[in-house]
Amino acid sequence: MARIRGGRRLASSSKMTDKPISGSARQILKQLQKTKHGEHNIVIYPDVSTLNEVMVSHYRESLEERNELALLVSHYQTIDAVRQLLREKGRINVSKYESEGSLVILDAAKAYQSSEGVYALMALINLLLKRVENLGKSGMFGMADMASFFLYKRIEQLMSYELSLPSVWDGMKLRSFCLYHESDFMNLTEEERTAIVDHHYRYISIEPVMGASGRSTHIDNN
Amino acid sequence: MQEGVIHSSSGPVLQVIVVDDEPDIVFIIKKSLQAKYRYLRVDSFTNPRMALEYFRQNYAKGREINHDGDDNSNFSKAAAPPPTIVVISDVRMPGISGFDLAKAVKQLNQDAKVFLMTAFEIDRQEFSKALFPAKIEGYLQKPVTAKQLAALIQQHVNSHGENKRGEEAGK
Repeated sequence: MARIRGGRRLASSSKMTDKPISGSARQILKQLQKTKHGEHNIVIYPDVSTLNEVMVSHYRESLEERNELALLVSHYQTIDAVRQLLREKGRINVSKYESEGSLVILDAAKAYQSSEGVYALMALINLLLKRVENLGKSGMFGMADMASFFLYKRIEQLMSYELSLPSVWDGMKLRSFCLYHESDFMNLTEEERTAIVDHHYRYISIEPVMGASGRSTHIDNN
Repeated sequence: MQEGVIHSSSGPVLQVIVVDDEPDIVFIIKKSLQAKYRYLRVDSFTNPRMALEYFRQNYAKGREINHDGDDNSNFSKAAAPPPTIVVISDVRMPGISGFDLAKAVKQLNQDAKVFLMTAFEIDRQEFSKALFPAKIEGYLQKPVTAKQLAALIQQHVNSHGENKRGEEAGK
């Protein structure tokens, strides 16, 4: 079982403590299916396994049913690990989509923390939006993990970047999701969290799939 | 020092703490070390916060080494010289990164030997900036092989022996 907390354009910090709407992974996917081009959303995930469960299915839907160009900016998994995941769990023809240019997988630290910083990624997104037209795609879908800002302690840059983006990509065939691991997100102050959540169109907080985590223990000695 | 012997009559000479948010990785590293070094004490964590708290409670400078808790190894505490502590941690972990963990560990006990491992590109310049002012002993590229681990452990077992001989000679 996984749970989802969702809502449109939260306006106050009190909304962040709303009771989550419970649901299975399939129900989470149904929430993602409702998203439309123009939305700039935020997803808080509890662990990588749970995120993968949702992510893999939605990338398949994006590429194979929605005919979108898909961008994935990964932090906790290498590009090769993501490829393998999409291929094996998602049964997605990764090499075909990558070679035709409709699937782009990037390492978040390189995408966000290079010397050109976030501007290089924004330039890439603009290029990819042009490619959407050239390839006859319906639009673009992207998920980007923001964890590299926490790794390099660039919280000021994270805030400045997030707050510089619109909640709605006006007139753009783009729906995007900023991903935050819950443990990273909780490192922000309440004010920062509220500001970030409030600056997105839709807010989704996923609760762990039972038995999927196991990532918070001291493994026994000997 | 003879290979495979990580335990002197007065207690363990080397203790290893492995931290990675991927349970499979810590399991493999731990099993690999214990297969080669029968008496090696290895503590492993998938949560870096818990690892840091454990380190603070047990290995912070000025504290007596504590073998309580879930330790099943029956090491003798009597007159034991301080063991060499080796921390092997992943870099990209949620909540507390390997950089944060390394800095905190060094602050608590600057004698601890810290190695960071990553499956991503090792950018020494960027990593040094992120670690500043702390300095660590080295980096390991994932997947880490049993041979690499053995070499790393052996190096510190040997240096522990040399330090001990040096201390005894100075008496």
